[in-house]
Amino acid sequence: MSRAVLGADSKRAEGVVNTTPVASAVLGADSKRAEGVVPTTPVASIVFRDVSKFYGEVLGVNRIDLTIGPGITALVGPNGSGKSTLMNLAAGLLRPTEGAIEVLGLTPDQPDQLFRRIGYCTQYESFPRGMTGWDFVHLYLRLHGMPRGDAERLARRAIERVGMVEAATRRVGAYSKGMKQRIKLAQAIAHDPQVLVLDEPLNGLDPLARAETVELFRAFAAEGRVLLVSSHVLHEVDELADRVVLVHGGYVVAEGAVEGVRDELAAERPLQVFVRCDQPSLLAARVFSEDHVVEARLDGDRRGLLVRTENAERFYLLLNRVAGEGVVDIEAVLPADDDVQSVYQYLIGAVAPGSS
Amino acid sequence: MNGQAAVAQSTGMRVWRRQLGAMLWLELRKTFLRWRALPVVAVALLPALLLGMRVVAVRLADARALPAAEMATMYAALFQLFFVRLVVFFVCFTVFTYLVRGEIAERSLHFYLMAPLRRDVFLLGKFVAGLVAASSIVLASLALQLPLAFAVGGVTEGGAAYLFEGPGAGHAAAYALVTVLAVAGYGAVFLALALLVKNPMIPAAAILGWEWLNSLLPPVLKKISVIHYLQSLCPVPFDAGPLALPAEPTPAPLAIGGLLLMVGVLLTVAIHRARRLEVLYTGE
Repeated sequence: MSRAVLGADSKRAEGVVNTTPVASAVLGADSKRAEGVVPTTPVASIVFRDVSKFYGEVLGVNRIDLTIGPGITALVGPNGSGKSTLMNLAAGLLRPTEGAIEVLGLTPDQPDQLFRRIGYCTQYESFPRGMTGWDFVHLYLRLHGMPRGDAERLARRAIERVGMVEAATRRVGAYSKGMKQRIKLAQAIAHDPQVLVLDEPLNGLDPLARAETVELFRAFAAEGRVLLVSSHVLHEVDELADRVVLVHGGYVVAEGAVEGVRDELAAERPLQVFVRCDQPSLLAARVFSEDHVVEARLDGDRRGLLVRTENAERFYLLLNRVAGEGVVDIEAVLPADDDVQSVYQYLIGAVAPGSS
Repeated sequence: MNGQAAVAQSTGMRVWRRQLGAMLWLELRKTFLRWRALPVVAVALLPALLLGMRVVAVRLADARALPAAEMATMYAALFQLFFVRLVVFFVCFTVFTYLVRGEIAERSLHFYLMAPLRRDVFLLGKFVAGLVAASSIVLASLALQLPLAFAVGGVTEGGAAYLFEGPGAGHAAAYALVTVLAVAGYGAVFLALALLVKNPMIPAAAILGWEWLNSLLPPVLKKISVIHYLQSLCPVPFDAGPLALPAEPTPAPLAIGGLLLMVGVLLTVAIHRARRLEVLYTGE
């Protein structure tokens, strides 16, 4: 189900800097959704309506129509693809050149209400000079207009949640990159926002802090909050996000659950599934009789079979039948290219080789 | 107004008050608890340094003490030509442009813009913070200047009596009022300028020239300046030559009203700009 094909548009026709148009894929029914992992129809928490942003003559993002609901949505794209522009637009730090943006029904013209419900962890590494971690979280909470006691309680809780209690009394300027990232995160979550916009939040974190932070994000998502997370580390997105939005050259090229997007590409890029079994040759003979199977290749150790199919659902049904017959002992079934990396390469790598 | 609306309004007002208080605290920390405040304080203290040097010079040379009336006229010249037109101007330029441009240079403005602050409250908070910071610095300088000019070292004949018992106390109050109004006027100019242009240095130089040439301008243009209103409020006249007071000085209430009106207009322009403010550090 292909959505808008972002071909010739007026801005590009006027000579605006841009990349080659890429077909945009949108999921229909996706597997995670069927499993109940992702809310069915996304509740309109962050809505971009035909949003474009130009920096003078340079394209930031163009004609973005996007609805982001509760759960974790990852914005994926190379540097300069428009991820941060989209996030800054969502958070009201940038104004769209055209189009409109709403977050929980609020527009950026209502910052006094919007920023009580949204927390933004930006990509900027800078902090107001001379502040300790505690000052940074606590003083900016005071800007919300809350009484000192409430601000202190919330600051303490947020600092605890990101594991920065011991370092909170030290100046932010002396923090490591990972600590700065965590204190920024504490500031973003301190006022208990319904929507969290997080620009590369795992950058610079050590593996332990990364795992804890991912857990924190999952906990937020489980509470029904909206998390919009950008990343260019694709395996990170695989383990983190319920949905992905692939951005390239200022355009949204695909959105939905990774598997759903992958399914949309199956006709052009048959899905690869690796099946580990005791009789791969026999299995190969069986699967070749199916019209949706494009290729079946024996693995080097003759203990597995790599199958390329245009219809994953039918292929999995076939495997069930084969397993049920008891002729072939199937040990494992591993999708080989339904991760973000593959989707990204298929959608974007073909256009701009090496861009990922 | 029904009860709910009253509660909502009072809650809103209370929140704004707290927000303004938080901004004030943040900005004062940034102004005073940093090394970069030192040059500003040093410039603000220059008139006091000059007056202190005069005390030392008169004492060392064993020169005659100046009568208080004569010193009052000399001080009026120092106040108007050096303190207000240069020192207060420089302090306000540094403090008020830093409120916005400094945050952009340090890439920390977005923390304000991500707070649930109405942009007009944000702008007014910045202005009040700048007003308090700059006024504190220049009023402290003024508080040093007056005793050094009149009451220290016996270098001004009858100076202490003039300052503490005579008309000097009233003059000191008028100088303080003019100083605060100068900070408000120049502060509004520079806050608006910082929001409107990327590099306020060149426009500020042009404004400095405009202020110095004010007395040479046609009457209508004279009113578009801070010094025009301040001159009329200064308590002691002096012979300023080509920079002399206008033939018909503006009455004090009109001068104060005119200056506050100008401040209001400038802040309205600044608020309008603040509402459309974007965080674009790389392009700034």
